[in-house]
Amino acid sequence: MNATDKNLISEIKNVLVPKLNEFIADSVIRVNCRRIGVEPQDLNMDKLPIFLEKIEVSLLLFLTKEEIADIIQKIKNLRI
Amino acid sequence: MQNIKIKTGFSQKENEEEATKEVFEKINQDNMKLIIMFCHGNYNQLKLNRAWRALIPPETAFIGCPSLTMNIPFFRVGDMLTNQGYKDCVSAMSIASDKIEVVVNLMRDIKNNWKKTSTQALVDGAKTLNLDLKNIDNEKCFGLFFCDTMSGCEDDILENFYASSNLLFVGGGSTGKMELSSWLFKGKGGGSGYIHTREGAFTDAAAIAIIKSGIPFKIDLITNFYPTQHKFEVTKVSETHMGKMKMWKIEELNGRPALEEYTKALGVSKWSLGIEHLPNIKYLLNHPLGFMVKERAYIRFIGARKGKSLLMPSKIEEGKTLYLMEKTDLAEVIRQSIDKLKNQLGFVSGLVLFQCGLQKLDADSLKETASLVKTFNIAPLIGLTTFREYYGWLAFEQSLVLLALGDVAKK
Repeated sequence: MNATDKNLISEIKNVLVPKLNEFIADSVIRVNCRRIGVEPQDLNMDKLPIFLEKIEVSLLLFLTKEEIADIIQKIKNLRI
Repeated sequence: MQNIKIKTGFSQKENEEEATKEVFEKINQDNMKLIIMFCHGNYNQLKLNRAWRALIPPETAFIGCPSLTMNIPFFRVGDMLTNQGYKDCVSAMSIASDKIEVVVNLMRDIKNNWKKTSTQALVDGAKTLNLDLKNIDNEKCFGLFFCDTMSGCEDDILENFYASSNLLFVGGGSTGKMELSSWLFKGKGGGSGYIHTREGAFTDAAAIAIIKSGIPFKIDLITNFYPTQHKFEVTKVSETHMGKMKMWKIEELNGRPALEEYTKALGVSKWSLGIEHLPNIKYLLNHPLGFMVKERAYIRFIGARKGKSLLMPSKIEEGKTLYLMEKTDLAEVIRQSIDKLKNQLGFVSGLVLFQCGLQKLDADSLKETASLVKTFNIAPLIGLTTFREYYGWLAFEQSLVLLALGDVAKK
């Protein structure tokens, strides 16, 4: 899977929505982008590592550690 | 050796000072770090707060609020959950431990100033506890959050807390007493969602307790719904008020008038939902909207109908997809969740529960309250009947949100 800065947020959403529903996925993206000081549409590859670090805690409310690791890996794979 | 001592007590005395004194005598202990107080909305909140402030030691943090208290046809709620069942009372919990540090901060004028006051409360709290807000360890720190639900800004405050830190909160909405006469005849229904701290009891307010804990803890959210095949995209929403309460008016679902779309899915006429100022709560609580994440439902309650629209007390955005939900067995779902929690913590030293008034009402009508109390009765506990439950950085309805404290020595 290839992701550019331009479509990064929609690619991340595509990974999160099947696991979290759109409501929680959007909220996780919005609040964690605020935490790292960017608007969701401005999230880029440079900011992705810190974004992934932040969403890990948020996801613990909804998913197991194994499920979260799987999601994080899928998002990391967007960089390939 | 115990690392934490938790005491709970309640009083059903009508006089505020006498009730407070009776509860305080039951919970008073050395080294109290925090007192959490819940009360029935019929008590005079200002008198009650004065009575508590006269008794609490200066080094003990204090936070509390009244339950959702309503007595309208088919809808009577307001009791506190205690170890001896649901009671019309003042109840409190004291937490004593060398392994816990607590700070409580009050926020006022939140309707107009929620961002500034909530950020300030968080920053001040972190400073007092010497916490780095951006790097809080979620296994050693959590927050309690109580908010006047009439303010309509708890979603914004919760999200602001989490965006400014990585602190996760549990808590509930303070609604207080809601009068039938003003609700029904003047259309001005709304509660008095007082927030209690050492500074006093205030409406248009919220409070946080930030807790740095060497004691293990778990937070959880429990609901008893699953989705039907009826799926709605929210296509038109605006903000409105129902009495004093801020609501979201869903004008369209799937591009059609929301009331028509919802009642069509249910196969009923609009009259089944009651009228605007006297909604058929018992019917509506059985048919909320929501969605699933794994096996757990997250609920958005339809509070009433208005014209061709539906009123929702929770923030909802256009473009979101919600399902018409159906109930499962509440007592069984709660029993399974509490068992899981016991296994995770090994030993539960105390429980703080925030139970939606609608869930409590449903348990009443199914005659399940005694069974619920038996399930909860694994440790000293207090529970508030809420209107909106806070989980992490989100607010939901028809949920039970809980904080369970363990004990390192007994794990």
